[in-house]
Amino acid sequence: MLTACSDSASDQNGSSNKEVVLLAYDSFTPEDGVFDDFTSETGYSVKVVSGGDSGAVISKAILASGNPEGDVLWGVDNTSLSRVLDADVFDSYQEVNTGDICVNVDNEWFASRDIPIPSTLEDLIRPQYKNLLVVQDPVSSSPGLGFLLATVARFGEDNWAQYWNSLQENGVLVAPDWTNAYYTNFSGSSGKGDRPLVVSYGSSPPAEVVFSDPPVDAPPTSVMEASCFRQIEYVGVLRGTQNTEGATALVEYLLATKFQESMPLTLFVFPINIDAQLPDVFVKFAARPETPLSLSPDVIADNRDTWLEKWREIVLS
Amino acid sequence: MRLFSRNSSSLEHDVTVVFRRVFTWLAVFPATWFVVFFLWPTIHALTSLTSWSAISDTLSSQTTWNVLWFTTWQAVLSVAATFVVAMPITWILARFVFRGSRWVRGIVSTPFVLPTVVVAGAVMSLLPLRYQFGVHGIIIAHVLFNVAVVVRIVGARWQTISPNSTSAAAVLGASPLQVFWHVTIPQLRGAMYNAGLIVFVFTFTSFGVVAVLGGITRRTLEVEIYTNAINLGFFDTAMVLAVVQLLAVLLVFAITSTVSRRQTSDGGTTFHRIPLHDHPRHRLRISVVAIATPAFIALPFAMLFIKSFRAGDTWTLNAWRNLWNGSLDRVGLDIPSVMWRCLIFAGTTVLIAVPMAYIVASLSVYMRRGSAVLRTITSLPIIISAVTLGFGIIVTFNESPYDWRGQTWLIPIVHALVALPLVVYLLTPAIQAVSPTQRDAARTLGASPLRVWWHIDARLMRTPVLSAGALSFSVSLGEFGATTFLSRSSSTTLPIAINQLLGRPGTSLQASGFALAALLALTTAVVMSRA
Amino acid sequence: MLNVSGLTVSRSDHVVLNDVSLTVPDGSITAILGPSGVGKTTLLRAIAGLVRIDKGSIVVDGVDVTHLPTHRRGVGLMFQDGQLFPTMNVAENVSFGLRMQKKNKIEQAQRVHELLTLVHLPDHDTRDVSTLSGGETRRVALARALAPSPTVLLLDEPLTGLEEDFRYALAHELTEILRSTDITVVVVTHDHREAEIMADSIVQLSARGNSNNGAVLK
Repeated sequence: MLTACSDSASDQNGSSNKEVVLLAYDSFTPEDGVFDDFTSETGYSVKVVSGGDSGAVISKAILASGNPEGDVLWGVDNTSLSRVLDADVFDSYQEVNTGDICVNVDNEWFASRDIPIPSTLEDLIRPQYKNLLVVQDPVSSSPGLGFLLATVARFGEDNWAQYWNSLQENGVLVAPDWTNAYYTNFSGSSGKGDRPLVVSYGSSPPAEVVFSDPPVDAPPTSVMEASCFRQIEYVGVLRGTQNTEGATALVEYLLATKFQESMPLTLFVFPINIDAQLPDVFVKFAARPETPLSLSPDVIADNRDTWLEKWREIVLS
Repeated sequence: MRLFSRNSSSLEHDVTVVFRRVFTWLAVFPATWFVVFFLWPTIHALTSLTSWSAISDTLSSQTTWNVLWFTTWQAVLSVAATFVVAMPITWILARFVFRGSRWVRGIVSTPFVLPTVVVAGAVMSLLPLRYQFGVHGIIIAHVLFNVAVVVRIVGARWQTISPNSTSAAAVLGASPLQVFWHVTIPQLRGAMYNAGLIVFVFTFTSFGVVAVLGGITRRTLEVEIYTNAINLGFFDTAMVLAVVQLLAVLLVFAITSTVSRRQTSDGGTTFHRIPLHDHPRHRLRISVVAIATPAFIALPFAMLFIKSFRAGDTWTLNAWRNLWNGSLDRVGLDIPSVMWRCLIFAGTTVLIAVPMAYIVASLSVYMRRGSAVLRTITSLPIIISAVTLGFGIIVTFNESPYDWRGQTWLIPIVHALVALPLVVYLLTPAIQAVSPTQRDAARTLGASPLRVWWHIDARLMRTPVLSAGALSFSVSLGEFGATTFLSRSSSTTLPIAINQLLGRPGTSLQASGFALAALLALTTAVVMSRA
Repeated sequence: MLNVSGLTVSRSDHVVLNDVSLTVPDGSITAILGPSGVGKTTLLRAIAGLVRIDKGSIVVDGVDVTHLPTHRRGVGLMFQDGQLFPTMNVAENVSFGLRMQKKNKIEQAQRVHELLTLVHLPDHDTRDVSTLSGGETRRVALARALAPSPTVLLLDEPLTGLEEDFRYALAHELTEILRSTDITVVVVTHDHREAEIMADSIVQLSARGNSNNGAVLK
């Protein structure tokens, strides 16, 4: 990982023309200064370039395949991996974290109205939960796509469309992306929206604890475990990069303990590196279902386009 | 070939003959630019991507028809709403003169030259959260834009209708409404069709407005093309949709041109406007309309400014400060760089568009045959939308030796293409107005054709060229549809940044979006007032 | 019967008509004579309700129409150059007032025929108005003005712009037509001979001195 050459090179140059560009989506917010060690060890500074939401970042990467605007790509997950591999975007790639995409619940909201909290996907189409759910557009949002795939996994290829028809009738709101859904429409977070059910991550409740002001001991939100869909994120070196050395070094760093340990509290995902320690609040409050819903990457690869097309037909008419 | 030989058997001014030859040769430059960066990408994308299965898949998809239906009815509704808002003020401005009438005309005409995302942002700032994404906002934004079109085209024709013909109807017992219906409308019909057609094409191919205000469920063909290409990666579908849109626009053109052929033109005599004070009745009602209409149009922009100073219930400069103090880095926006970059893009656009348009416009004036064909070809960038053009470019220039993906120099080139039809439209009458006899006089005094051009034409063209420059500058600053395809994070433009910020309702980011939009509105209005 | 009293009309900076009064007996033809620009047309337009008046009243057959909109006054006006509607043919022009009165198609056709015969143009009903000669235009304009049977008919310089010989012959013709109806008529002209041919009585409208004092009737 440490190369003497690059060390002396940075000493010789003085100036940091040595930069590694990391392409990511909007909500990729690493800890301040987490790359300082990387820079002092390798001499490369890290420039994080945000290209929009996950869907946009991936599409841009595909369009730019072979002539990328960065060196390392963060933002591909198990739902989009096949597209990216088909377009030959990566030179090499690795799993970097895991998480679950689940429906989050505003406990307070339900308690104050004495309504039982829904616990299954089937509950979401019951009339007593009308107009309470906000999801994201699966076209451009990866949690949105994750939820769609969860319904396919749960109800099967023949019935998921019917489920979505019922969701439509039950007043589901489709937000353009996760930030809008969680911070504007969801009642359980800082935005104080009017919907107490939102598609988010299994790690969102601990996030609420971490960011709460004034501090709280327990999260005001919980997770509907029966709705969780396993998400695996990847990071890789882009084909055609001018800076393979820096890119490879950065990928190694992202997989190393220091960065992996910073991930739970900044990106709210579980590290892939088994040596990384989890923070308390995560251990206590993050949902980690034993058997989340899932689909094999091949099945996703073959059918994603058709399912998206069908979803749009149902929801956009 | 002797460039300056006389053709003594022709009755034409010999300078015209020379100019024709010179500009025909010079036309090589705009022709090459047009073919390489416009025709080739469009045709290549069309022929290489559309396969029969893609066509049938797309056409059999319910989504396609839903989107086409929405695109059509929102355009029709926009045209109707525009006429409803515009006709009263058009009449007032055509018939009356009053204190402040110049301001009224200015306010009503300004939104047309503003960037689409700015107008969309202004409407967004006006609407309560519930309505920020939906068809209401889209229609309102379309009306704001297009009132200017009706005021200009229908107003010009209205001024050639004799006021006595409406009086004659009144003394025959026709109420004001009956006068309008039986006497005025039949004479305005041609102009109304023209204006209606233009408004329809603009709203049918509307991208910026729908992208910002449409949300998930309200999408037009343009937005669908973008979504399919960028978010979904369904390039074939995108191209089929682009063809569908093109055919729809051509169909509308065909229908309206057969209808509007039968217009009665009254020559060109413009009748003097009378002071409003002298009108026998309804002065108060007319004044109210004369004030209310520009107020309605100015309100969203006022709101844009106001909302940029608000955070929740407090007044603050934060949204503006955040533009400069680096706090937008977390969403990847370095506004000062973006601004600087946009100025450079806009300047380059002017340097490309104005000379190219001048050559094309000159050629169309001097050429003997085929000027109509030339004019149609130059109008193509409006008919083949900016989104289609941007899309065509990224799927054409993506392999060696012309892998120009992400190259920033493509952006001003494309901006100049988008500006071309407008600038040609602006310059052509100015070139036509130069009197050939004046040139002859200069010739007889010993000037060579080149010096004739320099001393006569160039002098007279100074002001029109300045206007053309201002127009190209504004077009570049505000271009959104094509640029969203071409720009990378290192070449973000102001409209793209504004769109990104506006997509975060209820947050300080959106307030910064309002601030940036207000800034862009002000800049464009100032630049265009010089035109 | 037409009764105008104390009519004052001013434009932005000057007075055009100053305290003008006029009485026109039932069924008679009165000519208003005066030099160009003195305000004759303005007077007619004021009576018809087409210009704003400062002071005064206009009474038509006992009804005060001063504050009524033009289309409800029952006052007809024949304009200087005819002002036929360019998008309609002769019959459609003539029947316009009848359409506004919601007369049925048969009544319209009858009346149109009647009037076109009256003005000696019985076969012109489907003609395009842009093909009419100067004289024909005026006749059609007269027919159109007469069609809705107005109580009062105003004629604004009806013969101006026509050749001399033709003009006076047409003046006789128009007078004959007008006398055959019972309409109260006011004709405005600057030609003395025209006034003598057409009118039962003549009044003068003159500007008194400088432009600040408007026209007065003598």
